[in-house]
Amino acid sequence: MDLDFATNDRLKNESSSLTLLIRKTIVIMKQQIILEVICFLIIVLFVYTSVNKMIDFNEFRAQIGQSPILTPFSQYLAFMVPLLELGIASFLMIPRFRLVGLYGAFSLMTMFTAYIVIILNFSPFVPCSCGGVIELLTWREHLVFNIGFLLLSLGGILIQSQFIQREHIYGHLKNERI
Amino acid sequence: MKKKTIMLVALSFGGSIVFMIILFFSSGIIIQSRNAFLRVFAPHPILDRDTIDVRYNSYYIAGASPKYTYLGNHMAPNHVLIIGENRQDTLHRTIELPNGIEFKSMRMQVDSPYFYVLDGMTPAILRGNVQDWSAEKVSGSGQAYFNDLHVNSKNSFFIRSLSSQNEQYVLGKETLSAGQSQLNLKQDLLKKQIDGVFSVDGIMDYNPDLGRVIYTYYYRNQFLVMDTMLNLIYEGRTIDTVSRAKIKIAQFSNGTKQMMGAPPLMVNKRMCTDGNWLLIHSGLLAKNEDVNDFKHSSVIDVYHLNDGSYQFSFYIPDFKTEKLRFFSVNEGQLVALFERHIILYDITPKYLQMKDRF
Repeated sequence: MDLDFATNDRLKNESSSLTLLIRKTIVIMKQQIILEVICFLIIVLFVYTSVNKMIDFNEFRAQIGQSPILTPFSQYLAFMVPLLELGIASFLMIPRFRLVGLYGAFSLMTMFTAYIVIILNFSPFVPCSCGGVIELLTWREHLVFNIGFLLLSLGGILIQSQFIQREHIYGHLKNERI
Repeated sequence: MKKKTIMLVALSFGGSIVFMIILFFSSGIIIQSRNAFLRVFAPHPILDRDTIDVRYNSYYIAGASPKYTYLGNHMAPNHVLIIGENRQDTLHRTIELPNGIEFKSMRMQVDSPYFYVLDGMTPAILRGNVQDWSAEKVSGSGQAYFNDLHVNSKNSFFIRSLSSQNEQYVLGKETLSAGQSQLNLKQDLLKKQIDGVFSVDGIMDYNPDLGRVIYTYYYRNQFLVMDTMLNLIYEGRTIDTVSRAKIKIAQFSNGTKQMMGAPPLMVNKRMCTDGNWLLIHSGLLAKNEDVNDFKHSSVIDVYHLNDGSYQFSFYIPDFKTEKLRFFSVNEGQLVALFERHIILYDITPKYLQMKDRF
C-alpha cells in the first residue's frame, strides 16, 4: 500500500513535470514567434523609411532643415538618421546582435516620439519629414504609431534578454556536465 | 539579470529623451530672441462684442463693409458666409457661376456692393452684385495671370504676378475697358534680396479711403506705399530691425523646384488697412514685452499711412487654443477670424479714428 502510494506520487510528479516542460516549451516557442514578428516589423519600418529618405535625399535634407528644432544640425542628421535606421535593421537580422539592435530601435523610437511631443508643444509650426506613407498620418496618429513601435521594441528587448539569460544558464549546465 | 535589463531600458529611454531635449534647447527656438525695439501698448483698444462659431477652418475674410463681413471658403469656393453685427445676424449664400470657365484656384473678394470671383491660374475675373450673388465674367479679363489681386474699381485691379521674363514677383495694374486688357507692370517696385520670389514675398492690400496700395514684405521690416498708378510714394519701415530677409533657399538637383531650406524668420505675418491706418501683425518679440502674452496672442502694430510712423500696439488674444488666421478693420470694428471662430471687436473710439483725414 505504502509503496503503491509512493509510485503513484512519483508517477504523478513525473507526468506533471512533463506537462510543465511541454507548457514551458510552448511558451518559449510563442515568445520566439512574437520576437520574430517584432523584429520583422521593425526591420520593415526602418528599411522602408530610410530607403524612402535616401531616394529623395535632397528633399529630405530640405525638409529636415525646415524643422525648427533640427535646423542647426540638419546637415549631419540628414545622413545620420537613415544610416542609423539601416544599421539597426541589419543588427536585427543578425541573431548575435539582435539585442543591441532592439535597444537601438527602442532608443531611436524614443527620440522620434520625444521629438513629436516637443514639436507639438513648443514649436511655432509643425513640419514633417518622415517619408512615404507615414507622411500621411496626422500628428496624433503619428504619436500613437510611434508609441506602438516603442512598445514593440520594448517587448522585443524583454523577450530577447530572457532568451539570453536562459541560454546562459543552459550553457552553464552543459559545461558542468562536461 | 532582470535588474540589468531594467537598468538598460531605463538608461536608453532616459538617454534618448535627454538627447532630444538637449537638441531642443541648443536649437534656440525656445528663446524667442528679444529684438532691439520697443512697443507701446495702448490700454484696452478693443472690446469683444460677439463670438461666432463658423464650424470650419477653411473660411477666409473676403471683404467687409461697415455693416457686414464676408467670408469665403477655400473648400467650398462658391459658398459665402455673411456676418452682420452679431451672432443672430449671419447669412449663407451661394454664388451662381456661368458655365464654361474651368477654375483652378478660385477665391472671392468683396468690395461692396460688388463681389469678385478671382482665379489667377485660369486666369479669370468675374463680378457680381452682393444682392443677387450671380457672377459674370468681367469683359476683357483673363489675359493676365496673377497670384494676388486687389480691386481698385469695377474695371481696374492691382495684381502681383510672376514675371515671365525673370521669374520674379512683380506688381502691376490691369485696366479693362471695352473688352480690352491693358496691363502695366512695375518691374522695379519689389526689391529682391536673395531670390526674386521668396525674399520679396509679402501681403498686398488696397486702401480705398486714401487711394493707396500697400505691399508689406513677410521677411523684412519694410512696406511700400503706392498711389493708384503704382507710383511709389514712400518706403515705410516696421519697428523691428530685420532689414535683410533671413531665409534660406533649397534648390533641388533638377533645378526646377525651390523651397525654403530653413524656417524663415517671419517679420510681418498679416496686414490690414482702413482709414489712415496700417495694421500689421508682427512675428517678432519686442524688448519690453512679456513672452507669455506674446505667445498666446497676436501682436498688432499700428502705423499712420501719411508717413509710415509707428503709433502703438495691441494684442488680439488667441481664442482658446485657436490662433488668428485673418483680421480686418472697418470703421470702428475689428473682425478676427481664428481657426473656427470669428470674433467681432469694437474699437475704443479714441483709437484708430478712421475718418480724421480731413
